[in-house]
Amino acid sequence: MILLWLIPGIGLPTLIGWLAVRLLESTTPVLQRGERWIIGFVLGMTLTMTVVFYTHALTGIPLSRWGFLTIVLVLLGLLIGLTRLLPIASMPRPILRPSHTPLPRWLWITIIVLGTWTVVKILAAGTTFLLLTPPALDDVVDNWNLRGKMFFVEQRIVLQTPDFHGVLQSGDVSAYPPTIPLVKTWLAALSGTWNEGLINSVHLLWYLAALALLFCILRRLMTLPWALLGVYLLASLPLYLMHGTNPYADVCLSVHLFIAVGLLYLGIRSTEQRERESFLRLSAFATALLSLLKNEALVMHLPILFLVLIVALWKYRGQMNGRSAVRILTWYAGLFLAIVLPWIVYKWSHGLAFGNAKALTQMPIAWQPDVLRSIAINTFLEGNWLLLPLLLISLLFLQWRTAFRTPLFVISAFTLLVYSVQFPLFMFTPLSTEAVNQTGYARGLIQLMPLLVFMVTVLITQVFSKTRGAELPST
Amino acid sequence: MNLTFLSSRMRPAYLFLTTVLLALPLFTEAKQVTSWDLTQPSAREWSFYNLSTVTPDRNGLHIKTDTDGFLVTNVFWKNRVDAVRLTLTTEHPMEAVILWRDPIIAPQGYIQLPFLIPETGSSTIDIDVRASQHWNDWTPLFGLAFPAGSSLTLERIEFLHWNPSEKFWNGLLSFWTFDTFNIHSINFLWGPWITTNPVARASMHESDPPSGHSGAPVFYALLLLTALIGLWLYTHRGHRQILVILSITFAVLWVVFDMRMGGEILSYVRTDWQSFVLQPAGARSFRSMRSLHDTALTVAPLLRKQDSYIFVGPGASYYQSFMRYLTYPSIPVTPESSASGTTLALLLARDEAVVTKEGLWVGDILIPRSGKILRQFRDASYLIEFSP
Repeated sequence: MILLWLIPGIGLPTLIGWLAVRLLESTTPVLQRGERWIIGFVLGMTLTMTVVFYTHALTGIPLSRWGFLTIVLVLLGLLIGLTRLLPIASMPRPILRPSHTPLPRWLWITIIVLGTWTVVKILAAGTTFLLLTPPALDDVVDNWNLRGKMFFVEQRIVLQTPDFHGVLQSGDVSAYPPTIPLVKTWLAALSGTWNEGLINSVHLLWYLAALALLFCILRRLMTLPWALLGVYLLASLPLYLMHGTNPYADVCLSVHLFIAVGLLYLGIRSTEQRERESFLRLSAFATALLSLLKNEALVMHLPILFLVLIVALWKYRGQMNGRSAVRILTWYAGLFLAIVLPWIVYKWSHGLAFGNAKALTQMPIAWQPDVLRSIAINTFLEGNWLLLPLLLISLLFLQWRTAFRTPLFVISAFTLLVYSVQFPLFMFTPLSTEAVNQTGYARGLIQLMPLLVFMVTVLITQVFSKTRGAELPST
Repeated sequence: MNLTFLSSRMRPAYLFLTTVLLALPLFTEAKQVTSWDLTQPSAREWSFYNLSTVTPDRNGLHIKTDTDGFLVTNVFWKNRVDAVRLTLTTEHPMEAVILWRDPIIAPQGYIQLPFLIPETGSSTIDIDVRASQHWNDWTPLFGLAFPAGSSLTLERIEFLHWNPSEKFWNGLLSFWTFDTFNIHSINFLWGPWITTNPVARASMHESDPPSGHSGAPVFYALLLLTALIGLWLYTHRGHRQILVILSITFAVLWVVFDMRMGGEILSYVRTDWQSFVLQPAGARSFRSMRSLHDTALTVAPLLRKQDSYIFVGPGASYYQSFMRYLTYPSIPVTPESSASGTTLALLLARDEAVVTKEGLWVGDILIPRSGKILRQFRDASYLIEFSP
């Protein structure tokens, strides 16, 4: 019964996200109904907790049930008010989906069998690991759930953790953004009790959101069987399933990254200026929220995403006028300043590190042995990613034109740059332990997985397409 | 070989048949066991070093020692050795060592492979010698080392070797042998692993990395083989379906890999249900951490009423973090840091804990407070209450 608290706990932030998305789409709705609700849930939850965090930091309003509800309801009211004040198209435009011929019987049987297998895996693992067993992993009890519980008990943001000598310490985890712990605090505050099943269940929703959104965006470009293939590829990745069904933060970040970069891709490939700007406003919104999830988003994902944005605008400058490009950049900059700058100021003012638990500026630079070997083992010889690395490399080789000379380069460039940037960090800094011990390397890949699988699925369809290298149909 | 008398259609079939016939002896070779029966006192001559007494009689080789010591004997096996099986009776569990000499790596010393004798009394211990990358089938010396305090009787030593067909079959079985949900399972999953005999398979996931070899190259090898066959069909027969053949093979292998890894994750689920979810409080075990979560969850309501409590757990810091999370805002502290007003102590899996007149001893740590054991739990876990 306690899971019924998910209805307001998920519903209110989702409504906030839905309204925010509609406002950003303005008079040019570009999302399908399902996409809007999924993105509304993902970005709405992060936006709501960001607003709660900033309001609490500014006013000291307690993180109690009524404290949360006051902020949430005021935010909801503001957004409803804005939807009345600002111009918004009343009906989203229908999106033309690629049609397909009737599927043969063998294909239906394959889809049903693999679909059932996948659903059983997800539900069994999700309910068991998230709802029915105690937290059993280090980062859960040292960071994500611990901080959420501390906020819940203290009814305030706490930056010090008690050590095992009874002394409060400003530990590494204090520098992590508070959004994900705050989601747990919010659910616990609503229900009035700290219940593991309730506060962990949101992780399964993030995982399902990643799968559903991947399907929706693939379906824009390809027929039903190919879109289902993409979802199956992502759902079958064992380590992504483990992260989706355990209370870790990387799947949550992965779906945010997928929204930010995926909508940037849809925007860049759009041939209609207003549509493009609508997509890119949404992408700018998701991009700004990334930094409130994990530290690596601020120091790694954001700069690379901005770089890819600039290159994309330059590369496709012929298809847009200068004013449109300036408007797009203004949205990215404006939302960055509005959402990320307060977090940076907060970090500086509280002396919180900017690295991922370790301050980047304090790291000695020296060659670290065994890193490449560990990375090769994790990538190719273990059960983490099935055959995806081989498939990806083969497709990039076979379809390099599509990967780098069409708007898909937005995704291929972003993922490859993010992946490449980690190599020097692992090879020349003490972060090498994250690769050698295999504690951190795979997290970086988890964060990129929806994007990588999206790219792989598009490239597969291109291999089988009769018009290889041709542009995909426009939305 | 002149194959002109065969038509071009028959050549591949002929080559396949020839290959099968040539390979047949490999699969008909029987599993081989070299056995030393130590109940025959004169069966073998041993040299022993630093062992207090080594006495052969009709019950076996009696070994008793107050110091660390070892015994060795000359060997010459006709076959390769994949595993060693010891039949023995011991008065204490212990960690012992298999020794052998490698004239190239250590011409004067011995290479060692530790193994556990986990139970008192009679037992049969199987040791996967291939777990050591330095194992040498042609060693001139083989021996065993025992720690001080050992008292045991060795009855039989067997050296086991499996034939290629058995190794192939065991390789298949090990491919589908699942790991358990470990603390590292959120960072990486070893995936399919291949060992070639039942002894290695039984213990393959007891070490990190598992003994044996990654099974992933099997997929790559099959894909390469398919590509080569497709290429051959294209160049010799003009078949242009290489892309289709490769794609179908890739899809099938992906699904097999998915079944393998999905099966492993579902095995984690099954284990959690069998040992934790469906068990009543007080009888639950949780993964490799056994009853510790069950105990912690049972005492948590009592601990939460304190500002702090003494906590001594197994070595890993996870348990401290887990207790801090579970009982927050009540904080677990080390014995050295406990305040005078602390009235409760939780000891998890500490079988060296003793309550004496001086106070509570946990190993060599003394908590100089008088107290009593309030509750005792499974796996040497205790809730202690100190007098105010």
